[in-house]
Amino acid sequence: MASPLMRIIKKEVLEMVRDPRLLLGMIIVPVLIFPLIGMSMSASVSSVEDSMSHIELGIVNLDGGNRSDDLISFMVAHGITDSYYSSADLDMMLGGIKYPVDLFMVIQQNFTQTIEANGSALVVLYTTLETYSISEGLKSEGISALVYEYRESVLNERIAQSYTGVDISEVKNPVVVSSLSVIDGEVVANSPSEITNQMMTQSIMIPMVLMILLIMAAQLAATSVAMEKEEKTLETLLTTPVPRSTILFGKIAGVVVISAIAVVAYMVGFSYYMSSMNAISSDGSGIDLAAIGLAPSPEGMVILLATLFLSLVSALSLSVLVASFTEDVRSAQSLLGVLYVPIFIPALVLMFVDISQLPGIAQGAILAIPFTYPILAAKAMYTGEYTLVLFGIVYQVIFTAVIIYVASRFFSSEKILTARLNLKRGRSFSLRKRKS
Amino acid sequence: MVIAVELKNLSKQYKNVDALVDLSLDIRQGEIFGIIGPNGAGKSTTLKIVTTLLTATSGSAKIFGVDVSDKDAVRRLISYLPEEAGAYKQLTGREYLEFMAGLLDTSEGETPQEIVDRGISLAGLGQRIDDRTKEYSKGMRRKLLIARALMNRPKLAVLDEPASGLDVKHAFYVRGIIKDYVRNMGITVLLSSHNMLEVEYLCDRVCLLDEGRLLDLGTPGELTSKYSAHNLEEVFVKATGSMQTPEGGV
Repeated sequence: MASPLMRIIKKEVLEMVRDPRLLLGMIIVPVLIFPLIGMSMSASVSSVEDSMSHIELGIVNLDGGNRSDDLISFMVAHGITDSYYSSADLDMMLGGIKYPVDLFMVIQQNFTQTIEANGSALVVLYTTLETYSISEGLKSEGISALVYEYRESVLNERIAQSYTGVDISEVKNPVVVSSLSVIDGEVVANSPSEITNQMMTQSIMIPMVLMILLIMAAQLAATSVAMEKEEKTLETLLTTPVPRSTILFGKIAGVVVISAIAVVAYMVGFSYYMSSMNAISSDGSGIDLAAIGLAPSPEGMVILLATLFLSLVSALSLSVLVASFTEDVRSAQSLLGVLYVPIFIPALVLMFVDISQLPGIAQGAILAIPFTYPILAAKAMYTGEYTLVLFGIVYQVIFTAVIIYVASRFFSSEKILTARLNLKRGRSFSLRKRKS
Repeated sequence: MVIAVELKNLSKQYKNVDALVDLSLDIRQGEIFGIIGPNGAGKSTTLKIVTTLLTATSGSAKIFGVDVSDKDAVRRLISYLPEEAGAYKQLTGREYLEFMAGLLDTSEGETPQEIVDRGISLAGLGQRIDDRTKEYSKGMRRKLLIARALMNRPKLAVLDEPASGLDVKHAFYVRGIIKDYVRNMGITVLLSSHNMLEVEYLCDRVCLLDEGRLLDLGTPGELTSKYSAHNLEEVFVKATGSMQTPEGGV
């Protein structure tokens, strides 16, 4: 026969799984939303790339010399569709008349002559903005890039004329910067920003996603308690011969089970999202962190999971406690907003700076938030610096134990039915008791 | 005569409000005892102290000789039906009864399944017992809840407004269960109600509460006779000595 704890957990899970809103919000949406975001971004990028490969360029050639012909040939050789217009067309376009081109390129008079005289010749691009989409801007950028490419060839020509028998690239680059990274005494050929960007993607984005999950789980726990109070099922439950702590643990454990399922859903969805994003990035999957000695270690993953689990339990205990002070689901969810700040602040701050770079007070404040440690653990997973995280785990255990103890005491007293946090006109919270 | 509920000088204060003042009464085993009174009379507060949900500011309450401060022991003796209570919306009626039966003390030899079977029979919902409770009408939900409160044959059933807000058909069914099943099983019932006629029909004895104070106590017959009234409603009006509403109107 199942114990009361198992029965409560089963009831909680059943109730949550059967609630279509919850099923949609915590499991189906995460499984679908990330792949959908990835697919839509992939489709958008493909669409932009596609439109970039068919640029209709209206050319107004006021020069007519060999250099302008070279430039146009260069464009056409790079897949640009060319059509030719007069300066009168240009005036009409500028007057608001639409032409079947993506943009106009005006090659100014004396273009050839200026180049031959080692001067700076001018090309003007006119793009009529209609949809204000990224592709409109990118088309202009694409043509600019081709002009700059042509400019390089002219520059190389000039250098070759002036300096014979030398490496043109050396002439053009009298000073070269090679930004290398040193990891555990090993020099790595990637710049620090390349590595930190990659690490941020892998080590920060995942905890950020899990922070969102944490908020949803907290909402779930708060809703569960508030619903029981609203429906008065809690009063019935509290008069059964089941210890109040069992009721509390049952509620928390039920949400933990659902959250674990949601974590899997998020991970599946997120991995699709990442693979979609990698597929559309120009350089494939970026830096292979494992190849430069920054692979997440198994013990690091265990520590990350431990910090996440403790964060989840402490967030759920806090949300149960917060919801205990409210009378209905709406009040519980409003009051729960207070919890979102400490959940998100560490993730946002530590995304940009290391904890050691913060001033002492800020460090203390961030470290006092138990939800900081999954973020630190995610970084430590790569760096191997676990001291602070291990301290954090001890702190999280103590924090969670204290919150569970307070929640348990609260559940065991009549305050669970009588105490109310009353938001007085948005100014302050006050604790009052309700007459039953 | 076994005393099922013994309240002695029971008082409850919420900050500066006296919800209950010096209430003393005994309820006998097997009796259906009603507490009647207007809103704020202290009915729910009394029931919540008896069911261990609230703690009295002073005085004592004993359930079959067990002080309510021994909460675990008292919770094994009682069953509570709160006013306007709901059931878990996503569970079926059967699952709800199974869940609640699993939390009860079954030391008297009954299995949870036997308790659930009795609950299903008491609820009288037929095939609808396997529907989710969110699909139930208010009356159906109340039938399920009253079945839940009585299915394990508690020594004391505490029912807060058991038939409040129900249509005639469902109210009749609920009152029938209280009147017949409870009587046959020898369950002691403490109930509160605004409906004085319902109390008169169901209860062996009633007490009148107003502003947390006991006004009178006796059988419906004794009270109507004492106040030369036709029914308990009239008794209550005469006992409080006023035809005024709490807001001051008549």
